[in-house]
Amino acid sequence: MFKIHLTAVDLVLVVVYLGGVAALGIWYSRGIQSGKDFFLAGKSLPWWAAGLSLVVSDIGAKDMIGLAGDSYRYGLVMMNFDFIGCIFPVLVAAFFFMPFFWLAGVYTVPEYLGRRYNLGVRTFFAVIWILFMVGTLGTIYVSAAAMFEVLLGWNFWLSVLSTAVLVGIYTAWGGLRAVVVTDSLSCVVLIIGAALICGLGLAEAGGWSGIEQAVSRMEWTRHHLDLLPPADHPVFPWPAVLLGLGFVLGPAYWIGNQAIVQRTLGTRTENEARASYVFCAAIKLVFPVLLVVPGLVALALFSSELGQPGENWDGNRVLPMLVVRLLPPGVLGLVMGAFFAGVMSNLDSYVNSASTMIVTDVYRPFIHPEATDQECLALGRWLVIGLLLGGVAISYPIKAGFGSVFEAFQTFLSFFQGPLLALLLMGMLTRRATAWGGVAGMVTGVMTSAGLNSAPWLFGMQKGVPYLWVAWWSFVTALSTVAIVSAFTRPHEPQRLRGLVCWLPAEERIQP
Amino acid sequence: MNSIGILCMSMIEAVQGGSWAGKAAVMAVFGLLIVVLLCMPAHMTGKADGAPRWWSNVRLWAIGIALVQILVYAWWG
Repeated sequence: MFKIHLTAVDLVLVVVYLGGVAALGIWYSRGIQSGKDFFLAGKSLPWWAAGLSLVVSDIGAKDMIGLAGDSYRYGLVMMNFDFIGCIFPVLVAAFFFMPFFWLAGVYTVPEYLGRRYNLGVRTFFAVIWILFMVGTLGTIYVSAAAMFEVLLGWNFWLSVLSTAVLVGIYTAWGGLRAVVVTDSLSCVVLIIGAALICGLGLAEAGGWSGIEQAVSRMEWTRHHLDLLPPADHPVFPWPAVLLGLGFVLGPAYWIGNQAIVQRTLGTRTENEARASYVFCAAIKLVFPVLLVVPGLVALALFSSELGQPGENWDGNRVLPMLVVRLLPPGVLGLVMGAFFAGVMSNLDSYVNSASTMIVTDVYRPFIHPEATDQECLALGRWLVIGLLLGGVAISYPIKAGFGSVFEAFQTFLSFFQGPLLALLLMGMLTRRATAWGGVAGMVTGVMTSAGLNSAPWLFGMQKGVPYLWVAWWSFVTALSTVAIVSAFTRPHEPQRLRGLVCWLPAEERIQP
Repeated sequence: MNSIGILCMSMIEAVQGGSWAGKAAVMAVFGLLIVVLLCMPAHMTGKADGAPRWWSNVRLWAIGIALVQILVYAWWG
């Protein structure tokens, strides 16, 4: 496909960056003495570091490559994944959800659900998230290997093993603190790298007006310059974008995803938890431009080579082609660093959070309730190593059918996002939501997702349902069921709900 | 279930418009968020411990970000 020839300057930049990340991670691994230090960074994180870490926990290398391909195919509408799908829920979460998680003193989102509803709901969502995270580790390795093969000429196992070792060095010893500190550096490098691709691409394409002229000349790009396509758009109709992405998938991701929420739980104060989310939203204002515009630049410059997207069209070629054609020597090293940053920050966040959930939501409640803090700390470290190796082991089988496997994981998760958000909303906003209401909402919500995916005719629809609609209707069903069943069942005592429901503040702040 | 599904989809189709309707809806959502942030009690915005300087006022930054979003949807695409 494409091969990049790095100059000595590029190689020095890459080596300095990788060495710097490892050194920083090891430096901040000192002084980890308890489970709270390892899993929540001892509640010592400043808001700006947590905010930077939130950004790169969300955006990885596979998102950079994937979004460039998707924006080539669909256009400006992809910006909504960071605008209405991120900034809106992040601002809502900053003021309505994160302070409550922080004050509740929980380590994980399922732990909150367990306290609010019951152990069954907690375990269900913990297992779902752990399965998803382990699967995601494999896909991160595979996307990293695909990228390193194109950019550096490394083979599959060299790419996978070097990534695992580098991330393992600091994540296994430093826990969340090392993850967040290295993520902060990665975020800065990622922004610089993405800005270089975007800026040089725009200059080459003749600016935004050059892109507009080029896009308007093509026949198949009628809605490419619509930020919100009309309601009859086959993939992204605006009502589905607003309701499914803005009101369900976005909030579920930014409120219910442990890999995201965990860095905020490690901040020093309730207000810093809030500030970290607002800071993340501020940075996210520029990311849609940095990640989506390159796809449109490629459309303007290389559409004759990349062609019109069809069934077997490969969108993963778009960004590497831009990198190869547009970036001068010396700048490549910075962009390589940005790709490494994306891979490592994604991987360390998922490994750290999966380890936290296994210890908090599986080991402690079911296997060893009397486990000491030191035992949990040791287990957390071993789990990080085990998860990294497990990800390596499943990466090879995933490689064979990467596209379909990645899609299967995303579809699998989308079954649970709507119900998860419904339970979190009802649990936080009303003391009337009961344990039975939570269980019933969870079951009906997941059944709705499964039904809409596999049997749309049941709901009066002839063809497949866009996944944004699936998320919306599963959320509505779960929310209604929680409300109805809760009306006929007995709620928890107010004393038990203190600090877990908005209107029942904790009398004394609970510290983990 | 079939008739509920048909009813829901027909309700959505009834309120659908061109992409201008989508932009108006998104701007309204961010506008509503600004109103909620302005009306929020001080203890929910981190101001309970005293009036912060403007640059450390989390609520002010959040309102600024929401305003930028309204401008983006009004002007772009």
